Amino acid sequence: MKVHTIVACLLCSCLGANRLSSQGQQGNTQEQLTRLQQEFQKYMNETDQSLDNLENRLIAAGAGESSKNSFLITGYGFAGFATHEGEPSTFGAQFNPIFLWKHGDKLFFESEVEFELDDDVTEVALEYAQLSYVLTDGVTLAGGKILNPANFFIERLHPAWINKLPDHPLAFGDEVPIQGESQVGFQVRGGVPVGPRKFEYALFVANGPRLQTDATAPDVGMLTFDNFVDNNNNKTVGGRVGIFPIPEAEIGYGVEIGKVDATGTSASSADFTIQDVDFNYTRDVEALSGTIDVRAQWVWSDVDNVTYDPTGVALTFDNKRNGGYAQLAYRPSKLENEIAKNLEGVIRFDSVDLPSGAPIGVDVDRWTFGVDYWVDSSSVVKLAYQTSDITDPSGTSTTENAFLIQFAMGF
Amino acid sequence: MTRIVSKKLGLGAAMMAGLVLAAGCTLIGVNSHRQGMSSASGKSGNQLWQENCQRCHNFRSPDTLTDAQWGVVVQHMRIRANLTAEEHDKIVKFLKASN
Repeated sequence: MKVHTIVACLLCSCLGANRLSSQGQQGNTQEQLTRLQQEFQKYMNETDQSLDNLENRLIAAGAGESSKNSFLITGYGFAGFATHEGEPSTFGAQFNPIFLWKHGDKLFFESEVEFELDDDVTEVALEYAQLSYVLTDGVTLAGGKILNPANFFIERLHPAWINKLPDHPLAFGDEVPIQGESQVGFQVRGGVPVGPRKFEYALFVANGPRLQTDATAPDVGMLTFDNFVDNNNNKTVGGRVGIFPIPEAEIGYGVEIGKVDATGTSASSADFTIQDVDFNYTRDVEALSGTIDVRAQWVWSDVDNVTYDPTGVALTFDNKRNGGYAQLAYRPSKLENEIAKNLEGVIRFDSVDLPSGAPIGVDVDRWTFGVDYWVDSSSVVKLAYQTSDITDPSGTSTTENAFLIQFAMGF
Repeated sequence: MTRIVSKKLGLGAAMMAGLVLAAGCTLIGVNSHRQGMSSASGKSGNQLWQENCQRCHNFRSPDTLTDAQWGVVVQHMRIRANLTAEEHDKIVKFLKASN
């Protein structure tokens, strides 16, 4: 803008001087005026071009972009408060920066680091570190520590600014997970148009899980998914396919099969299968003046029955587990009222059924009722009341309640 | 124990049925959407942006990121959400033209 002003001033000066000196020379004046106008237009064009170039360079610098590389730090974080019945209430916080590198149109690297408060320490974890190569329009090759492609909730919905409630469903959480959050291995994935619709796929080979074989551990018989350095040569294979019957809905099926090391039990190894189905539907509904959001995912896990500590307590049980969640949310986003349009009601049922013969043989049914207030499209305050019905193997039930608050922001 | 399992299955079935019913109710008027239910070649970048982003999360306004930043973010989403090349290209073009 300043350049334009300077050029305009210079032009006016030239015109004024020219006018004074050219009295009585009308013929030359018209020619000189035309020439000055042309020069002025030329200066203007050059200035605009320079400003455009400068703007592009500033944009590129802001995004860490060179001629071929682009870099961006994004991610999310939250502050929270939770009070569970029978436990001290506590505040909490978490920070998850995500680093993205785009190298040309083919190569892409993404990584998420998690800083999480746990008891008296700050835990740092590599959530994922994935290098991808876009081979063709519908085929991308990727490897590293990858979010589990078979687990839709974890792969797509787990970030705190996306998940509409302050915690994860039990089956996909940290305490009694039935399906893992990540895999260390390679995958091939993509989306393929099929006629008027599209389907998506992901196939992977990875280290897979480990089996907790310590008969004195409360989680004996559970698959644990932090198998970062594999403890056997048997790899897990699996994947997920998803179809879109209508643009707003997706139905998926995921599966993982493999063999885990079972040294210390009555067998040297044990086969396992994990299968899950998911359903996701989001749509603006004029009749409801808002948006409804429906999510559901259920997972079944089956591990070969083995005897743990065969020379001692000789613990054995039918090692089948299942769990999942169903969630319905409604936000009256079409209302005029600024407060009401940013409120969202959420109700979720989640459950886990664990083997009744295992040390942790409980079944848990949990209802969570939440109200969210969206400060903007990626910042949300969540309030939730939770009630859990816990049944032990003898059939005795207890109820535990909790109240959760979370302020999450994606950036 | 059997009674508890039956009760749980019933509860889960009821919840799933409720969700399917809710989804079914909102499918009313889907015929109008079917007109646009074609491959990406029949859809605008704006339409593809809304469909694909909102399937998982709120969509951010185009003016929240620069052209270069959108290039990185949409490539990230191309891989994560299995966007086709055409969907990716149209969405990037729309976002860069709208910010």
